[in-house]
Amino acid sequence: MPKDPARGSVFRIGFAVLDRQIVADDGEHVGKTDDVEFSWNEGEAPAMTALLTDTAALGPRITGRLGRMWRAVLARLRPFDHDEPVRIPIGDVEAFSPTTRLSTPAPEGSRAAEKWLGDNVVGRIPGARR
Amino acid sequence: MRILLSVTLGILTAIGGFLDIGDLVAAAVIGSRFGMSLAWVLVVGVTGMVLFSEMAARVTAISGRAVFDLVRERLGARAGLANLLASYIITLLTMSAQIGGIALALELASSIHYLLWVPVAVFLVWVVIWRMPFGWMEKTYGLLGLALVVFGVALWRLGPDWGELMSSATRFSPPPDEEWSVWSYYAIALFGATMTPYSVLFFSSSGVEEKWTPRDLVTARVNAFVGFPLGGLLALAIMGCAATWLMPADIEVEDLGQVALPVVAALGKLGLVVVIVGFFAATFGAGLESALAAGYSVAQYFGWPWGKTVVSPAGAPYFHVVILLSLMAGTLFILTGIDPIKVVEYSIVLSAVALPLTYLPIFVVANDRGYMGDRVNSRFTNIVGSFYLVLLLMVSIVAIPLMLYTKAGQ
Repeated sequence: MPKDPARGSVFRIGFAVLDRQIVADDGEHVGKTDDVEFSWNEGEAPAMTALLTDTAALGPRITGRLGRMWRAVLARLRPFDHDEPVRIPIGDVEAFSPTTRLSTPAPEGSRAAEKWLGDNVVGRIPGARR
Repeated sequence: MRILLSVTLGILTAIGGFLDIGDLVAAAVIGSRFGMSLAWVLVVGVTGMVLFSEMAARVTAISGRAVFDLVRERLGARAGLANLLASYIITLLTMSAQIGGIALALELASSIHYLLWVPVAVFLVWVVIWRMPFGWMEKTYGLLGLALVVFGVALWRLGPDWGELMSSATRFSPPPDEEWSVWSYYAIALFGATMTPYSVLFFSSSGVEEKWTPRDLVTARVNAFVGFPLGGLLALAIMGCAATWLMPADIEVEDLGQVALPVVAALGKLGLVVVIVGFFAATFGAGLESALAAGYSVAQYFGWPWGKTVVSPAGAPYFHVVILLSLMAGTLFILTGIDPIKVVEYSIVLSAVALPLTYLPIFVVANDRGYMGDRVNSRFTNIVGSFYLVLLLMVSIVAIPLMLYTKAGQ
């Protein structure tokens, strides 16, 4: 298991990674860590390789029919050229807690629907860009 | 000198901003029906509010996190979502009640039917959220809300038998012609009106927006420790007016105009003008706070950018869309012609039901050294805090059965 070097204690992913706020290097909110990705080779222990952030990625964690519906409906809000949840490689993470800080700007494709709404609907109301 | 000024201003704002439509209606309804026999609930409620806000302010100032940010983090995706849904619906209901209240206050001032005022009221709320800087917004409605001090003046002018009021307040039992169950139901309603979750959601999120640091904690604490109890005194004055003037006249409060009657009786037209200003400020301020609280809670759960002033609206589109949709939903709800006073009564009881949902995570985090370092709760705070946790859970469990049993206090 990976160790938290600062404390030398067990690093609990459920506690220190999942559901934490992700902030880009410029302070922009990227989203919450909605899920994590594990990879492993035959015979090796699995390791956390990426954070997934996308409201649709919450679906499997809610479980049941509601979870499936959640995933199906929200996945529709993704842009066509990014049909997977936004993936943030673990190497881009600078610190995990209290907030997950990235050493990079917000990854491409994150908050696509929101940005569209900002440009085309909310941004058109007078006074939106003060 | 500047600190003194800002502290005084903060206290005045806290007093003026403490009351909302729930307090106004609950205090008057209860005063006119039960005299001062439920005054003790105000004391319990205000103490709880001070405790809850102080913890929330400390958590925000030390960790820089707002309530629903922490709810998601501590409760996880699923329980957090359930919590969000419940809190959001209650906040929406409370917000609708405030919108109805603004419209009723405008009706009192203009004699134009309140339903015609509803769209105007909502539009004004939205414009202020959209454009007005934070500090200005809080100060304006807080200071205007001080107009409600007129209830204190009116009570003094009515010249009640103070000994009688006092003995009614210390009786701790319903008047002879009322049942225990109904009396307890109204106790819960008054408690829910005093200790409102949306104002803590707003309080903590506004702390993040204003970038509180541990240094700002002093101001936040003084506001809570001094401002809230003084705000509670205003509710007590409204109750006293109702007990002195409405109860003997056998008037049961069914609309906002009746809440103002004792003031009109004592101070005439001028009193009425001041009361209407106070009603408008209290409901408008609470309308702003609850609409923002709705947006804050959803945006914080999902990790979207949020904020009234730290980002431009175009930079936080989801946050503003949630507020806009919530305001529209509230407008449609009130425009169905449902009695706004009934909406108020149900909203305060249901917010008493939902209180543990936001109280518990804050209480837990306020004890977590990972977030708080050595600024965790003191032993004294924890003793009082645990007492309130039990109380809140009990209230939450009992409220709905009691509502059904008493047919909502009839």
